[in-house]
Amino acid sequence: MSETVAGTKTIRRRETGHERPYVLVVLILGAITAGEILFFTPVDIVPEQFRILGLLSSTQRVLALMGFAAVKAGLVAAYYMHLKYESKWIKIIPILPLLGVLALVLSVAFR
Amino acid sequence: MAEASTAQGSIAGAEEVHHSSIWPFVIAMAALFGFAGVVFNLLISVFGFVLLWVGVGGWLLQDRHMRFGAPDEPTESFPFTAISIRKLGIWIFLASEVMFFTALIGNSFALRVRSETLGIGWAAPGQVLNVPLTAINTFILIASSFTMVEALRAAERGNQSQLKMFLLATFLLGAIFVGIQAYEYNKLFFGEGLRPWGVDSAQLYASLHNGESVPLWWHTFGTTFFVQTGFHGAHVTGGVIALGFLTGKAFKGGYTAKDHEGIELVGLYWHLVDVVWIFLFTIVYLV
Repeated sequence: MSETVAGTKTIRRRETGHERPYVLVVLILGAITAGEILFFTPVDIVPEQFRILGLLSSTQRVLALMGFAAVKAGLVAAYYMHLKYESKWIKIIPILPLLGVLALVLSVAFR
Repeated sequence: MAEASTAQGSIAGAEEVHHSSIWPFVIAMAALFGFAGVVFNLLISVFGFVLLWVGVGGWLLQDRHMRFGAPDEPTESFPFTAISIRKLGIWIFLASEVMFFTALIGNSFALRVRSETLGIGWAAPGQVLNVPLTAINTFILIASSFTMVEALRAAERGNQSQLKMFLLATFLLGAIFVGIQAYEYNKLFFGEGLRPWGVDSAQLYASLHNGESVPLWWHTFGTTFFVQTGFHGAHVTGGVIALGFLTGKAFKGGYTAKDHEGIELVGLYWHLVDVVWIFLFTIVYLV
C-alpha cells in the first residue's frame, strides 16, 4: 500500500497529540466566561462599580460579549475539535456555512 | 497509522465488502414522517418519533453485537484523500447543524431587534432568566468538552482506565447540564408563566407577578427562548445518550488505541453542541 504525504502528516500529528494544550484552553474558556458574567452583565455577584458595563454603550457591550463568544468558540473548534491540526479540506467544510452566518448577521445588523 | 497506509487498498476493497446497514435509512424515514406530520397530522409525527427510536436502537444494537463488515479505513477520493469517510461525514453533518442553529438564533435575534426598534422592548439580562445558575451550566458544558477531548487522548494512547474515567465524567456532566436545564424550564414554565406559545392568560401572569400586566415582549421572548434553548437541549440530550453508549462500550473494553473512531466522532458532535451553547448563552442570557 502506498503511503500518501497527507497520511504521514496524520501519523505525526497523532503521535504529538500529548503536547496539545487542552488544560490551558479550558482555563482560558473558564476565565473568559467568568469575566463575562462578573464584569459585563448586570448580575449582582460583584459590586456595581467593578462592572465595566456602565462605561460601555449597549452596542459596545453587545459587541464585546459577541467577541468573547467568538474567541471561545474559535478555541473549542481549533483545539478540541482539532481543526488546527486537520487538513485544509476539512477546515473548509465548517467555513462554508460560516459565510452564510456572516451574511445573516450583516442583514440583521444593517436593517 | 493504518488510516493512511491502507488508503488506496481500502478504496479498492470497499467495492467488494458488504458494509451496509438498514438503520440509517430507517432513521431518515423517521425524519421524513416526523416533519411530514408537522405539516399534515401530528399523529404522523408521533409515528416518526417512535420510528426514530426504533432506528437508533437498532443501529446501536447492531454496532454493539455485529460487525458491519466495513473496510477498516475507508477514505474518499480527492480532495479528501487520507481523511476517514466517517469523519468527513460528521463534519458535513456539523456544517448543516451550524446552518440549522444559525437559522434559529438569527430568527430570534431579528425578532428581538424588531421588538426593540418598535418600542415593544425586551427582557433585560437577568430580568426573567437565572443568569448565575445558567453560568454554572456553562462551566459544566465547557468542562465536559475538556473531559471529552481528554477521553479521546486517553483512547489514542490506549489508556483504558483514563478513557473510562473521562468518558464517564463527560456523560455525567452532560446529564447534569440537562438536569439543570430541566429545573430551569420547570421554574420558568410554572413559576414565571413563560410559555413557548406566549402567555396562557393575563390572570395567570398577574397571579405569578404580583398583579402586574403582561409585558408586550413576553410572548415573543418565550417563543424565542424555548425554541433556541429547547433545540439545543435536545441536542445535548442526544449527545448524552451517545455518550452513555460510548461509556458502556468503553467499560466493556470496546475501544483500543487503534480502533476508537466512535469517540472522535461523538466528540466532534459534543464540541459543536458546546460551541452552540457558547453563542446561545451570550445571546439569550447575557446580551
